[in-house]
This record gives sequence, C-alpha cells and structure tokens, in this order.
Amino acid sequence: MVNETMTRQERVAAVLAMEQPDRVPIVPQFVMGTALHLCGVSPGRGYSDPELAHTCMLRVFDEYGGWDALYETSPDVADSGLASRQPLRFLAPGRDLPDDAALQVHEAEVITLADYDLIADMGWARFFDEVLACRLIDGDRAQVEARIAPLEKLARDRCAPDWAARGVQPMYAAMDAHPFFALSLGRSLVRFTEDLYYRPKVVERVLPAMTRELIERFSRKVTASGIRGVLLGEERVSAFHYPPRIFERFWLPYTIQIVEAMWSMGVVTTFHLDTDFGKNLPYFRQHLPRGSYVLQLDHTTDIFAAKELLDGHGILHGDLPAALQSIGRPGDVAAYVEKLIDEVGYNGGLILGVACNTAPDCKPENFRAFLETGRTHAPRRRSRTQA
Amino acid sequence: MNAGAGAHSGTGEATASLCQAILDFDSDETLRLSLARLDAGEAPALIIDDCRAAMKIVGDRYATGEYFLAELILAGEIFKRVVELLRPRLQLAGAGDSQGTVVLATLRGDVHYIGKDIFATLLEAAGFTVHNLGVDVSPERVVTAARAVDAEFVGFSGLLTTTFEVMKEATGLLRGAGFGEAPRILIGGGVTTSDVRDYVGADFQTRDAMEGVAWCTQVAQRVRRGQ
Ligand code: B12
Repeated sequence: MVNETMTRQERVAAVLAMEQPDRVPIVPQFVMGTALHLCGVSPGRGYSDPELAHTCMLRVFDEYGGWDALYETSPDVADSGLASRQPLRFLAPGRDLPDDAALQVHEAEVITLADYDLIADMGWARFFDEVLACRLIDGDRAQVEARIAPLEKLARDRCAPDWAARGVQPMYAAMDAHPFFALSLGRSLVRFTEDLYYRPKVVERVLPAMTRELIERFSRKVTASGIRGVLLGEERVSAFHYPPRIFERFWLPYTIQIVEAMWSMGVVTTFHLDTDFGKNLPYFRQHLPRGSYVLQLDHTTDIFAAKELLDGHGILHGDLPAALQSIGRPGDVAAYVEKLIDEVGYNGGLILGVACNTAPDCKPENFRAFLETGRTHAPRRRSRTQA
Repeated sequence: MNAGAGAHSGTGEATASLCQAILDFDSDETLRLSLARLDAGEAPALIIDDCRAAMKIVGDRYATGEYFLAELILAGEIFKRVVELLRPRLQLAGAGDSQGTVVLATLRGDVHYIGKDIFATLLEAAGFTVHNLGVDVSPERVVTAARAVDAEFVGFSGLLTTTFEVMKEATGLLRGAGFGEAPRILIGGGVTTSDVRDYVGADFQTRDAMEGVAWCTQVAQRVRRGQ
C-alpha cells in the first residue's frame, strides 16, 4: 500500500521536476468516447449532445475515484477538430455513422499541393480558418463559427468550472499537432511522403513559419492560463514510417525550437508519440534539455527500453495497451500497471497513463483496475541495479 | 529493344534499368521505360515481372532495415501506376501465375484504409491476386467474397479495438462456412497484438505489411509443395 502525503498537484509537479512523488501520478488520457461507453450512453447520443458527454466525463471521474490531472477538459466531439485546427474529416456516430459506431477519421488529401503556397502566404491559422475549415465541412465561415461557438461556450461555462470544483487541473495550457504531423494528416500519408521525397523544398517553405506560429500560440495560452505544460502530437515521423534523415531534416530542428522556447518559459513539452519511436529516442536525450519533455508512448514503443535510455533525463507517460483495456482481464491490467510502476516509476519519472487514449470500448472493470493499482501499488523494486 | 528475349523478363539491360528506376523511386522514368517496352511489342506480363523483381529487392531492403515504410509506400505507388498503365493490355494473369488469392477488408465500424491498401499493393507486387473489399465491410460480405473467389487467405485490417469482436465474428463465419479447405486468416493494423490474434482465432498477426507478405508467401509455397 501507498501512504499518500501529497496533493494531486504536488504529485504531478514532483514528477515534472524530476523528483520522487509519494506515489505515481495517474493521468489517463481519458476521452469522451470512453466516458460514453462507461456510462452506457450510445456514441450517437453523446456526439450529438456535448453537454451530456461532458456530464458523462464528470460522472466517470467521480464514480471511479478520480485521478491526478486532466488530459482533455472538454468533450472531443466531431466538430472539436474545427476548433483545434485538425486538417481532417471526422465522421461522427449518429450523424455520419451508425449510432453505435466509434468516432472515425476519414483521411484524405484535404490539403492540396497548391495549398502549400497559401499556407506560406497566409500562415497556418488563417489558412485553416478561412480556407480549410470551410472545405472540410463544405460550408462557409459562418457555418464553421456556428459549429465551434457552442463548444467554446461549453468549455468556458461548464467544463472549466466543473473540473475546478473537483480540485483537478488540466495538464496542458494548449494541445496541437506538430507542423509535420498536421501536414501529414492534411496531405494524407501517401501524398505527404511523396512531397518529402520528391519536393522537399515545398514542405520546407512552410515548416519554419508554422513552427513560429505554433510557438506564439503556445506561449499566449501558457501566459493566459498559467499552466506550465503543453502537448505536441506526433504520430507520423518515427522510424516506423521514415528513415532518420527525414526525421533529422523535417522534424528535429523544428522540435528543438519548440521545446527550447517552452523551456525558456519554464514550460514542459509533452509529446504524444504514437507509433514505434524506439529508434528515435536517442535524439531526445541528445538534443533536448534535461527535464524539458515528457513522452507519451502508445505501447508500440518499448517503454521499458525507453526508461533505460532516458532515465533521469526525460519523463515517460504511459502506456496501458489498448487491447488490454478492451479485451484483457482486470488481473492482466493490474499486473501490467504493477510492472510499469516497478520498472519505470520506481524512482519517479513516470506518469501512469494509457496507450494513446482510453479505448472507446474499455471495460469498466479494467479502467477500475488501472486506477486502483496506480493508487495502491508501492514499487517492489527500488532500482534496477539493486534488484 | 528485343521484345522476345528471355522467357521471363526483358533483356538484361532493360530489366536492369527498369529495376533501377524503381529502386530510385523514379516514377516518371519507370513509366517511360515500361511504355517504351510496351511500344516495342513486349508482353505486359514480362514488364510486370521485372517490376515485381524490383519490388522484391525493395522488400528485402525493408526487411534488413535499409528501407523504411516510406520507401515501401513510394515503390508501391510506382508499381500501382505501372499496373494501371498496362492493365488495358494485360491478359488476366493465369491462375497458375498467381501465388494465391487473398481477400482483404477493414471490417464493420472501422474506416481505416491506409495500412490495408499498402498491404494490398505489396501482396500484388509479390504475385498474389488481391480482392480488396474496402472498409466498413460486414462479415457476411467477406464470406460471400471469399467463397466467390475461392480465397486461400483472408486478411483483416483493424485500427480500432472495437473491431476485435467483428473480426472474431467474421473468423467464426469463415471457419464454419463449409469451405473445402478454410482460408488462412491473418490480421494486421496498429492496434493488433498476438493476444488479439488468439482472441479472434486468426492464424497470423502482424503490424508490418512485409511480414504479412512473407507469411503468405511461405504458406502458399508450403501448400504448393503439399506440406
Ligand atoms: C495516425 C493515427 C491517428 C490519426 C489519424 C489516422 C487516420 N487516418 O485515421 C488521428 C490523430 C486523427 C487519430 C485519431 C484517433 N485515434 Co489514432 N492512431 C493513429 C496511429 C498513430 C497510426 C495510424 C496510421 O496512420 N498508421 C499508418 C499505417 C501505414 O499503419 P497501419 O495501419 O498499422 O498499417 C501497417 C501494418 O499494421 C500493416 N497492416 C495494416 N493492415 C493490415 C492487414 C493485414 C491483414 C496485414 C497482414 C497487415 C496489415 O500494414 C501497414 C504497413 O506496415 C495509430 C497507432 C499505431 N501505432 O498504429 C493510432 C490509433 C489507431 N488511434 C487510436 C485512437 C484511440 C484514436 C482516436 C479514437 C482518439 C480519439 N479519442 O480521438 C481517434 C479516432 C480515430 C479514428 N477512428 O479514425 C488507437 C486505437 C485504439 C483503440 N482503442 O481503438 C491507436 C491504435 C493508438 C493506440 N495504440 O492506442 N489517430
């Protein structure tokens, strides 16, 4: 058993400061699809009623005994992508898909080759708001606004105060896709790969400005919220997809700029890293300041090997596998969480989480086992060398 | 260019330059060389064979870590373009030429297609006949299609945990459908693991398309040898 001596905030802050917490902080990357499932609300109903979805998120937090900090603070309905400038077409259950379906992305070439010029001229935010968003919904700006406005109102008037009342804080002042990832999603994987190999200069025309814009956006939000963390998503650059020379040329330099800019404000950058980054991990140790970053891993990267490599330099966040959440048994979940705490979290340096996001069909008993074990398991092994 | 030279491929030189164009990921050059050989009267099947030989090298280089998924994608796109170009003149490959018949689908409730389509292209490049049913496909449709083409392999791609149940259902239907010999079932996609393979009752699982191609090739060879 664990003797809790810290508040939620202190626990999270301790790990971010590379210090030993009283127990591992638990921050499941909890999303509304899981909340609906755990509350027995059909995706179709939840996606068409963001208020209800928010209520479900609160209910799960309360009924499962809560956790230490928040990943997302408002429901990620299909139109949330318009507000957060995701260059993707989302298919919503109940609207574009059957009532009981999971949220889907239909990846297509929504950004054309000619759009690179537009992005270079207008900047990413203006390009998205004035051109791409309208294209994505096949409508005009008023229609885009009409979809976003109620979500922003909900986030401001309900979500923020409801979470504050529970004494739990958001982890991130802002969340965004890395410019490389945003282009990969918008161009689509195959077209973007062709861009990188056949017309690299075109891609390099927009990456520096997109990076500057992202840093400005992050900085504004950090200043406004006072939260000292940001989340940068990247799921399309690892050695699962590309050779090191692509990573080194189109990703690493821009990433260093972002992390250093945040770090100079005392802000830790969390990377949401899906796909296997095993071969890319040494770059983080080599190029980023100690303590300036957290890596969320999606279980395709070996988190235990990552610990060996980055121990004392970066922080890890993960990584209960999706398949274990949905078809595993509570005993398997508990055993895996124990292993994470024993081998990755024994000396700090771990935020307990799941792979990517909580699964839309996560079993209630598995979610409970995840949280329970995180709260109660004291590490068995103080260090690898002592073991 | 000597159209009739060689039983299985063009002239050594023509073969080498076509192969090199693919290994350089040079789409335009590959198409230009293919067209030139076609215009010179060469059988399209021989040109495709040369492309397949190049794709085999790409696959081998991927297996040793020299190439990455990106290079499989680029080479696959080029291969697809050559096939498109030659298709009008390509006699349907005789059954004897095919390594085997594969039915592929992303099942009901999931619309991810990128990984599945990469796998489909690489299978075709390795000489398999592929029936790609697309996304959001019902288990019943899979069974009907597998029966219609007498599939030796059925592959499911899944990126969402919610499709595990549907994979299981489809596998059950295929196993109970009274095929002479039930097709081998393989699953792939970012969310699959060996536990999922066991849960679903599939024969093979991978998150690496080339591994999938290697497995199908091995099984097909074993079956042909009667093992
Ligand atoms: C990029 C990505 C996204 C992108 C968009 C992807 C898209 N086009 O839809 C974004 C950011 C939008 C996204 C969103 C979400 N995602 Co997502 N995403 C991914 C990620 C990182 C990679 C997918 C990808 O692009 N792969 C590229 C292709 C080339 O790879 P592949 O499909 O695996 O295919 C390869 C092999 O598997 C093989 N293969 C594929 N099929 C087959 C079939 C056979 C028979 C064989 C032999 C081989 C084979 O061939 C390919 C080449 O080797 C995966 C994680 C991962 N590690 O895979 C998560 C992942 C799919 N996402 C996940 C989740 C949870 C989500 C969201 C639900 C999150 C949320 N709450 O919003 C949403 C909704 C997604 C949806 N339904 O469309 C989870 C799904 C797990 C689950 N619980 O169901 C995953 C698995 C991450 C994880 N480990 O938990 N995602």
